[in-house]
Amino acid sequence: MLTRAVGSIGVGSQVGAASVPGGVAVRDLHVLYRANELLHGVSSTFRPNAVSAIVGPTGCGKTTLLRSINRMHDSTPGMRVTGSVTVGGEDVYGRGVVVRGLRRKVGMLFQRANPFPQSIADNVSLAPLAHGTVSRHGVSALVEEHLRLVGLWDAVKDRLDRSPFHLSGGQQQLLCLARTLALSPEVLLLDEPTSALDPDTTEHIEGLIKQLSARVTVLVVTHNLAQANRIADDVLFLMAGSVVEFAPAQTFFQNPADERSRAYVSGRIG
Amino acid sequence: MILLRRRAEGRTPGPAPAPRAARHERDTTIGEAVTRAVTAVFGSVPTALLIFILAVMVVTAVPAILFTGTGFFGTYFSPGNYYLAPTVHNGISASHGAVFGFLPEMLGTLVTSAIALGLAVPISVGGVLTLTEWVPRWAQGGVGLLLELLAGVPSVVFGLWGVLTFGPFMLRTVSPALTGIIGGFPWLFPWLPQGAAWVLLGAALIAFIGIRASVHGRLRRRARWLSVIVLFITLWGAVAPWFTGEVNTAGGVLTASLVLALMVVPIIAATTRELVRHVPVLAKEGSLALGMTKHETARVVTLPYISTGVLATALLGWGRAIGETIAMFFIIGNIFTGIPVNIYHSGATLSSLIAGTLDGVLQAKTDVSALFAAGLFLLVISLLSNLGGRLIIRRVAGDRALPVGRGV
Repeated sequence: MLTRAVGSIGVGSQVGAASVPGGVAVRDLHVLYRANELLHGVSSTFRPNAVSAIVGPTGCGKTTLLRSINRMHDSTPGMRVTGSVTVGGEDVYGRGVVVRGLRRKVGMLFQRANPFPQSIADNVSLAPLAHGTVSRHGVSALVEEHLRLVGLWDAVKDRLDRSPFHLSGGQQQLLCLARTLALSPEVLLLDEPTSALDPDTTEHIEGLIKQLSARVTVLVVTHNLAQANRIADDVLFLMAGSVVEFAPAQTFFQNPADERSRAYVSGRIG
Repeated sequence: MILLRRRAEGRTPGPAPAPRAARHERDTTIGEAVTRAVTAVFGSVPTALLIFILAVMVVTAVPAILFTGTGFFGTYFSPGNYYLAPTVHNGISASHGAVFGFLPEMLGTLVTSAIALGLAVPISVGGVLTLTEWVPRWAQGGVGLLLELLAGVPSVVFGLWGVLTFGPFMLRTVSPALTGIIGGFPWLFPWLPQGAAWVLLGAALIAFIGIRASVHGRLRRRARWLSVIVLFITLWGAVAPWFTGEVNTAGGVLTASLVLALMVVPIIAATTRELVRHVPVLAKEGSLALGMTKHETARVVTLPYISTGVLATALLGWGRAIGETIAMFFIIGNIFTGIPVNIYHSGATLSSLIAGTLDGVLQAKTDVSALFAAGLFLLVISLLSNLGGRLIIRRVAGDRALPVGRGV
């Protein structure tokens, strides 16, 4: 039922950043939904261990691009992906790729918090247990480590066996971040992770993202330019499914090359 | 009413306050009062009907209740002989030799429904999960349609099929195999008489309570395992004897229960299908994005999301199973003389007793009264199990309830 025509175009030897663990490269990526082309040949190489923000007006394909990287389009009938995506030099859409393993390396955080309807502790430990990256004896240490990492430990340490749905929206999103980090991913895909959160939690999460980027490649989709300015090392500006500009953040915000980027940064479009 | 107000506002020029509150400014307009009265009437009809039916049943059952007293819990039912000298007890006259013991029928009702539901719930939930997760979308519609058609099959057809086709198959093939397999298991309590099963069932209940307690941290992990083992042994000891021994009829309790299960499956499955469809995609993607498989996602996300709904649906199915009459009447054998020695024998349910007896006893007022008493028991069992089910749902929903609009 799912037809995917994936042509690996010239990815035999990825050079530079892309083949380093955590390096993400996209080559001539077309994504189609039925007859609609959502991405028209996007190519970019994201620096490892840096924060790359993907910005652009609503409907420009930011989320589509992000979801191509961990193959989230697989389960949507009618979605076709062509071109190539490599993570750490390995073709994501290549033959014999285990999607399960790919998604262990490439974590994802969604627009709204979506914790499992399980206990808080299980939220963190279920995926590592399923992947066999932690033993039963190591679970409680793993849970504590990652809840501490996102700064949630003190708030939940007395109710680890309770439902996460009693937590605030921001705390739930932090729990989802902890859950993702518990798999020690190389790449973190963030799909407008703070769009539903209050300023304090947003600031906290932005701090975490900066801090995490020392060891994880972060791709963050955001419609919030100020946020991109605060956290991004590089900015990819998409419009209508095509790349307009991909530049270091400072360049993009202060001296963009493209006229449309200038218009977008100054708020004239978007 | 909004229209009315707009028109009225249009007519009033300027902000000049009216000296007396105009009609449209009063809290209750005539329209609202009428609406309220009409909805009050329609709203109270179901409650009033329930109370009315209950009252009629209680009043009609009084003679039988006076005649029998606690004898309702006896194991023998007979409408007696209308043409011989009447038996008089507590000032109530009944047919000669009439005895109204409903215990086998009460147990029959509970056991057939329990077996039916115990099979139907896992089959429906498992089937629906398989359908929605692994069957291609174009085939799903067809299977869904079949399910809905199955729900529309009249119960008398199920009854006919059960007694003419399925029953003989059970008698020849399934029942002998089942009794052979279960009878061949190493007996845990071979020296105990079958009645001791009830004691074991009590022990099983205590073990279950022990498990519940340990879940809440009052017992340690080892004690928890111990109580699980005790629960299984005692349940086995209590239940297994009913599944062994001679097979003597094509109908009987097991056949009736299986047909009942088949009748309940579409009800539970159809609702479960809707429940599964409404599990938020975002919640499932959270699991898939972590590299969890479909199977793990179903277990970790989908099942908890639908659990309360499935319980509520099971409760609906339970109501249907308890009340199911004509199929049970055809299949179960309608034997009112004692508790069947095992589930391969004929038995009766409260509803099959009423359906099977009424025609012969219309002349005998006390017999009819006894049937109303049977109906009352049925109603009480139905109401009690419904209340119990609601309590379970509330407990299950308690901590894991999913507040709407909060990260869901």
